[in-house]
Amino acid sequence: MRKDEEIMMEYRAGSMVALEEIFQRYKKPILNYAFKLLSSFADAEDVVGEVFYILTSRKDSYEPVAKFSTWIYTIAHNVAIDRIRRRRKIFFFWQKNDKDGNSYEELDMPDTRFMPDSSAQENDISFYVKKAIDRLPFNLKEAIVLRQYHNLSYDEIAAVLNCSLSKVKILIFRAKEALRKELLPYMEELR
Amino acid sequence: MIFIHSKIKKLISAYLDNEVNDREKNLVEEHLKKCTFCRKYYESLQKLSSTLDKYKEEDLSPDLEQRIKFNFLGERYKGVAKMKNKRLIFGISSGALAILLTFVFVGHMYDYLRHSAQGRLQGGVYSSAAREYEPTTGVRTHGRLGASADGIGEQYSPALVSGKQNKNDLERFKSSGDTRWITTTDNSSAAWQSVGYAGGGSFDKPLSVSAIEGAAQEGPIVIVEPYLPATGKEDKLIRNAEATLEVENIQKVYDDIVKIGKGNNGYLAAANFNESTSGKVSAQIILRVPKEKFEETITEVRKLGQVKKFSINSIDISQDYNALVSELNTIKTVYDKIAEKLKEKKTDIQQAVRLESQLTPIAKRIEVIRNKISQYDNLIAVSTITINLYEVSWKLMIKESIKETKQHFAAFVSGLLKNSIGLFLLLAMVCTALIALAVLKPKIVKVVKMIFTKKSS
Repeated sequence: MRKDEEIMMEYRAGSMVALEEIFQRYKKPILNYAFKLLSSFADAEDVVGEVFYILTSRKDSYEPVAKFSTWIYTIAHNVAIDRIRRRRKIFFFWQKNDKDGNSYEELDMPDTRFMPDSSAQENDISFYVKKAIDRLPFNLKEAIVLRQYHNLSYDEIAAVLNCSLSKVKILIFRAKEALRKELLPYMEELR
Repeated sequence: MIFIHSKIKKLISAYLDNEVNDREKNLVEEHLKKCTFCRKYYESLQKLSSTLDKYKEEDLSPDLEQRIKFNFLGERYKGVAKMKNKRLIFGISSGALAILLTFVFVGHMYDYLRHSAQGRLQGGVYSSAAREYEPTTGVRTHGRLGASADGIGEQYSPALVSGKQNKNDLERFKSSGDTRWITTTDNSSAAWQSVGYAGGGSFDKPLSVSAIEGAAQEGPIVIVEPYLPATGKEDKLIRNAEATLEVENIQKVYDDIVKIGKGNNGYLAAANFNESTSGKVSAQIILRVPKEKFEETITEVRKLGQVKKFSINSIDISQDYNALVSELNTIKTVYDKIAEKLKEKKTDIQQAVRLESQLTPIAKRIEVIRNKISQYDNLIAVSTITINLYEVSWKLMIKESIKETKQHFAAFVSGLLKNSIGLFLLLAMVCTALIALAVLKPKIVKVVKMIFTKKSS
C-alpha cells in the first residue's frame, strides 16, 4: 500500500487520480472525527467538504516533512473549531440548561439518528458511548477521539492540537477517567 | 503510596497506548504484578477501549459524496471562502466606519460643548469684552467712562466747539441716530471746570437728541472727541488691583505678602482676619506699593495661591489734575498782581485794606488747590492692591467637585438628548464598533497570538 505522503506529492504534481485516492482514504475518518466533535451530521458533512476544499486550495503549502494524516487532521481541527465558534454566536440566545444545570445549545435541527426510539436502540452500547463522548469537554474529546478512533500517536496528536506531549498525555488520561466513570455500568454488561 | 498509584495510573493509560519508554514500561509491569488495585484499573481501561470501539462509524451520504467528488473545486466550498473574505471586508469596513464616526462625533461634541461654554461665559459675570467706540458721525463726545472690567481705562480729551459748529455736528448726529455721552455748559471758558472725575463728573447722563437740540439753542454745547486709550505713562493714573486667592495656609501667605510689600518698597495699609461659624478662615489685606513696582508686586502676589478673581482698575485723573494746575496758575497770577500793587506802596490805607481783603480768599484757594494736587500726587505715586484670601476647605472642595461633575454630566446628557445628531452619531458609532469587533475578533486574536508567539520565540 502506498504511503499517503507519496499520493499527496503526486497530487501536488497534478494527478487528479491521486486526489480521488486521498478522498477515498480520508472521507470517512474526517467525517467521523468531525461528527464526534460537533455532534451534528450536517455540520460534519460540511466540514468534510471544507477540508477537501482547503486541501485542494493549499496543496502547495504541504511539505512531505510532516505526516499527511497530521496535516489533514490539523485542517479538520481548525475547520471544526471555526464551526463551533460560529455556532456559539448563532445559538448564544438559544442557550438552555439541562436537568443537571449544565448549559447546552439547542439546535434547530436535532440529530435524530442516535435517538433511542426503541428498546433495542436503548440497549445499544454505541448510543451510550456517543452520549459519554458528547459530554466530554472539547479538548479531552479531541484528544481521545484522535487516539481511539484515528490511531494517531501522542506526538501526532500534539502536532494537531498544537500543544506539548505531556499535555496530550494528561488530556487522554483525563478523558479515559471521565469515560470510564460514565460507561462503568455498560462495561459490566460486556462481561 | 497514593501518590505512586496516581502516577502509575497515568502511566498505565499511556502504557495501553504504547506511548511509554522502556523504563516506564518496566515500572508499570513490575507494579502491576504486585498491586491488585492497579491491575484492576488496567483491566478496566482495557474494557473501556473495547467499549469505545463499539461506536458505530458513519459514512458520507452518497449524494454528498457525489457532490464533493464532482465539485472538488466546486462553487459551494469556494463560496465558504468567499463568505470569509466578504466577512473580513465587512468587518474592516465596519471598523473604519466606526473610527470615522468616532472622529465626527468627537468633533461635533467638542464644537457643541465649546459653543455652550462660550454662551455661559458671555451670559455670566465674566463678561469683559471691551466696548468699542467708532466716532463715524463726527459728533464729538467728551468725558471718561469708569474703568472697564479688564482694567483698561478709556479716556477722552476735551475740546471746545462753537455753537454754530455744534448745530452742524448735531444734524449729523441726529441723522446717524446715535446717542452718546455729552456735557453742556453755560460758559465756554469755564468748560474745563465742569469736567469731573470718578463718577462726580459732568457726563453721567446720556442725553436724548431733543435734549441736545434744546441745549444747542440755549447756549454753547461742549462736545469732546474721544481720545486714544490711556497709556499709563504720561497720564495721571490712580491704579488699584484686587485679587481673590484660594490658599492652603492663610498665616503663611500673610507673611509672604508682607515680605513682598517690603521687598517692593511698599507697606501694609490694612489687614483683616475673619473666621466664620463653619470654621472657614478668610482675610483681607491691603498693600500699597510705588506705581513702578505695581505690576511686579501683582505678579508675585498671584503666585501665592490659586487665583479665583482678579481685576486691575485704573482711574484717570489727568483732566482734573490739569484743571487744578491751570486754576492754580491763574489764581497765582491774580495773587501776584495784587501782591505787587500792595508792594508798590502807592496805595492809600483804605485801598490797601481792600486789596488785602481780596488777597486772603485767593491765598486760601491756592492752599486748597495745592493740598488737592499733593493728595493726587500721593495717590498716583502709590498704588493700592487689595488681596482677599480664603483657606481651602477639602471637604467643601470635594463636595463642590462632586456637584460640578454631576452638573457637567447632566449638561452632557441633556446636550446629547437635545442634540439628536450627536445621539445618532453615538449610536451609529457604538453599533458599527460592536459589529466590527464581533466580526474581526477571531482575526484580532490570531494576529495577537502570532505577535506573542513570535516575540517569545
